[in-house]
Parts: sequence; structure tokens; C-alpha cells
Amino acid sequence: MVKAFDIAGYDQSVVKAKFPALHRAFQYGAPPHAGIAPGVDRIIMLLANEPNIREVIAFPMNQRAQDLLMGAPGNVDQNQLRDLHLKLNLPKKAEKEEEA
Amino acid sequence: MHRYRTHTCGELTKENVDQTVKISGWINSVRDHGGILFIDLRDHYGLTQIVIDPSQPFYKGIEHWRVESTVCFVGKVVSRIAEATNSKLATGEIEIVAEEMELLGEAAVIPFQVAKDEECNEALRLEYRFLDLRRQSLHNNIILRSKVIARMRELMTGLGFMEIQAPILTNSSPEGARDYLVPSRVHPGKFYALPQAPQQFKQLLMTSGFDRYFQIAPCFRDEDARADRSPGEFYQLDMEMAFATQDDVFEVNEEVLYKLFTEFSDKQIDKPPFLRLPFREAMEKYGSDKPDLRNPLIMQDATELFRDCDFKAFAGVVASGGVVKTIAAKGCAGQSRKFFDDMIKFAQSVGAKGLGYLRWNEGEVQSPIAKFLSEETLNQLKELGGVGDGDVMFFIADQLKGANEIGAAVRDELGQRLDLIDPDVFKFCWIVDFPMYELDDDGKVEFSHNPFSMPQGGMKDIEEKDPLDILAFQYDIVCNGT
Repeated sequence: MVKAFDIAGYDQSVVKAKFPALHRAFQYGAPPHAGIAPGVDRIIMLLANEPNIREVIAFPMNQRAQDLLMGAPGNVDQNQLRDLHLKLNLPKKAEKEEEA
Repeated sequence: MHRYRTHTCGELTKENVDQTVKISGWINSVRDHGGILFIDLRDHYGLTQIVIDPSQPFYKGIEHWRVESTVCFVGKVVSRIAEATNSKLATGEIEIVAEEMELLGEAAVIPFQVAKDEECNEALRLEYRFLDLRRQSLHNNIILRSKVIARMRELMTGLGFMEIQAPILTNSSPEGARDYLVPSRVHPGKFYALPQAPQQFKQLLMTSGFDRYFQIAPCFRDEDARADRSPGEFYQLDMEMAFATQDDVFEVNEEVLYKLFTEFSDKQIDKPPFLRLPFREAMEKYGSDKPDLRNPLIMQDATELFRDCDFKAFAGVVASGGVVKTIAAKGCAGQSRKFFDDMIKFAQSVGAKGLGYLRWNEGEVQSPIAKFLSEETLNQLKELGGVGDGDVMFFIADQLKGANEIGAAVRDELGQRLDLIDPDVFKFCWIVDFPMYELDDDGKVEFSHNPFSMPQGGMKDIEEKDPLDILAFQYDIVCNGT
């Protein structure tokens, strides 16, 4: 794995820093393994004969990644931001929307 | 008697005639036949007709009810007269003569029709998704989804796989798409990330000694929407097998997919094993690693035939290291001028500078580019495409990557317009032998797909081969181009 990453320009320290878990685990007798992950939504689209993925999801987001029913993504309280040690640094346009 | 119902709206038949029943549901529709009201009451299971006589004390209030209100009725099941039976409905031979009624939940004015699946603005449907989900076609899709996922679990468990949940709050992973981040309260300035896929966890489960893992796994990617991928989140049938080869994975998936697709669809499907198509061949013939194999059209390389021709637009592309790809479409020379103009417009809409074509019609070549090509070249092209009178060859000239992308789109479009794609079949294939590495836009060697995949020649490949020639044990399953 380290050698394979080396070719793509990542040296060992980078591999260790970015993938510490696998880097460690692969040093303790990793079995050869194989897998795959077919898309469930796509399988259901084919079975339902639906060209639009939102027709096979109960509560989908729109194409701008908004949930129009729940209003997500939404604003949060100043208190919540403070708890999380976050300050917003919004682009000009979004600031105006926020005020409105 | 139960507080709300003795039966659902989908189960009463002639067997129940003369019984007194209680039934609850949504008012699907109300019809007035000379003073007698007929209500179709709907629930998850079906529709049942309720009859209300004007002599009933609750009759008067009914005119204020709106459709989609929830109501409970007590009444007697009676047979419908022969002319009034509805053979399309499971409950079509009976109706309930109402004796008592109770309004359970009154509906406001609905923003769109629920009883009929008529077209309506999608934003409004999403805003009132709970009403949209009452509509039959969407309701049935979600029922299908539930059944398919339940069957997936059953099949996977039957094959000895264990479902194990990987974390949802995990660490940001540098490869792939953008992560969704979750700020930590306890660790100021640090963030969790939602998993783009449980890739690392499933490999860790293998190193933890589990033999066969699967999960109906939620995956989160902060990327723009595509037709076949929901923005934000989607689900994978994620699986991993220890001490297993690519062929073992194929065998499991072929069994599961073949069963799912035969059990939940009437469309025709090839029996396993599914076709295996090397990545390079897929790119050459279809310009895509997700080819729709229902479409019989293929791309061919005609670069050399245009290298020294007088058609400067193509010769120039070839001279600058580009390629000319051709798609031969049999029997479409008789199409209208508009068809060819529309195809050119389509090609331009997907980034082509133009779309050349040669049209062998009624014994002559009709084409704006034929006059630049020698008789010999025309014959060689004809031979390459295996075409004759009545046929057409389309040409795309561009750098390889662009030519593949445009060619793939033109192939799909031709397949649609010429009605070559059978809507009643599933064509599965495995794309195999993905390259381990590719050059990125800056000419730097980069992982082409999953950095954790195994090179086919093991360490020997990595040590000795040109990185761009190393093939990975990396594969993908494709059905009907998705």
C-alpha cells in the first residue's frame, strides 16, 4: 500500500498521516479481501422504471441540496455556534439573505 | 370493536357481506348521485366505497368535508349491484352503507391533487412531500424500495454476510469528493466528517477477522446533483469478503442482483455470469465506463484515415495528437435533413465543435465533408464501418478524452432518436481491469479510482511496470448505462 501511494506522489509519512488506521492495521496480518458497493438508489430506480432518483426516495433534497419540507440547511442559534467555537465568515450575498 | 378499524380499506370482499365493520382512511373522492353520496375511502392498503344515505343525521355536515381529511365509518358491508362492480379494485364487489361517522383529522385545502397522479411543480411536491407520498405512484415506489431492501438483507444474510454498522461520525478522508463536516463541541476547532462510503471501515472489519460483511450503508458527499445520484446522501449495498478474489465478489453479486431483478421486475435479464468488459475496451467502443449495452451502436477509431486528408478541421485535430471516432448507424440515411441538423446541434451542446457525417443514400454519398475525401478513403471508411447504401457514419474529432465523452453522448442520443434501445430489458455487465493510475489534468500520476485496490500483478507490478500500465483489481457493475 505504501509503495502504491508512493507512485501517486504520497510518501510514507503522508500515508501514515492520512490513513493512520489502515496503515496500522495492514501491519498486523491483513487478509486479502475484495468487495464492492452497488448503489441502492440506482437499483431501485431501475426496478421502478424511474429516470428521476427523487421518485424512489421518501424525503429527497432538491438539486440544490435543500430539503424544502424541513427547511434544511437552516440557520442555527448564536448559542449553538458559540458551543461549537464557530464564527461565521459569510460571502457578502449570503449575509444579506441572513439578515432578511 | 377496535378504536379505529376492524378492517383496512383493501381487504373487504363478498365474504364479508352483512358484517358490521369499522373502517378509517382518507377521503379520496366524493360523488353525489341524486342525493346519495359515494365516498372512496383510501388507506395504505386500498380503496373502499362508502355509501351515505341522505336520511343519516351526519349527512348534512359532510358537504363541508374536504378531500384528504381522515374519517372513521361504522357500517354494514353490502354487495354492489352487478353494473356497479369494479373489477379493477380488490374491494370492487362490495360497499359499506354508513351508519356512524367520525371526523378524525380535517384537511386544509390541498395544494395539488392527491387522488390523481397529475403533473405538478416539483418544488411544491417536495414542500408537501407528505401529501405527495400519499399519491399512488410515489407511494408504490417507496413500498417497492422497502421490499427490495428487505430482500437484499435476506439474500446477503443467506449467503453468510453479517450486517455491521460503520460509524456515521468519523474522520475526514482526503480522497474523493468533498466531505460534510460536523464541528466538535468538546474538541474546539476539530471536526468529524460524514463518511463518503464506509471503505476504510469495511477493510478494517476484514483485518478484524470478520469474513463476510455487508451494510445498507448511508453515504454522504457534498457534490452537485446528477440524474442518478441524489445530492448529499445516498445508499450503497456495501460489502467486503475476506480471503476472496474478484470472481468470488462477482458470483455473490450476480446471484443477488439476478434474484432481485427477476423477483421485482418483469423485464428480461441475462442469466449470470454477466458479460465482463475490460475498461479499455469499454472506453474504445462506448467512450464510457458505464455503457448502455442495450444500444447496439459502437464507436470505432478512424484517426489514421483522416491523418492526411484534405478536410483540414479533422486533419488538424489528428496532427495535434487528437483522434477521430466514428459511429456507424445502419439504415438511417433516409432520415430528414432536420434529423442531421438536430444531431449536430446536440453534439455542440455536449462540447463538440461539430459532428461530421457521411450519408450513403440512393447510390451517392451525401455529406458536406465528402468532397474533401478521396474515393479510396471513402471506401476504407465504408469498410471500417461495415456500411453500404442506406447507412450513415458519424464522426467526432477531438482530443481523446473529449472525443470519448462526446462520442458516448452522441451514441446515447442516436440510440434514443433511432429507437434502438429496448426499454424492456436489463443489460448487466462488469467493467473490469480499471487502470490503477491515470494522469490528472496537470500530467501528474494520480490514483484513477480507489487507492486501496490491489494491483493485479501484486508488488511485482508496482516495482517494475510503468504506473499507467498497471491494472487494478478494480471493477464496477453497470446496468443499462448506470
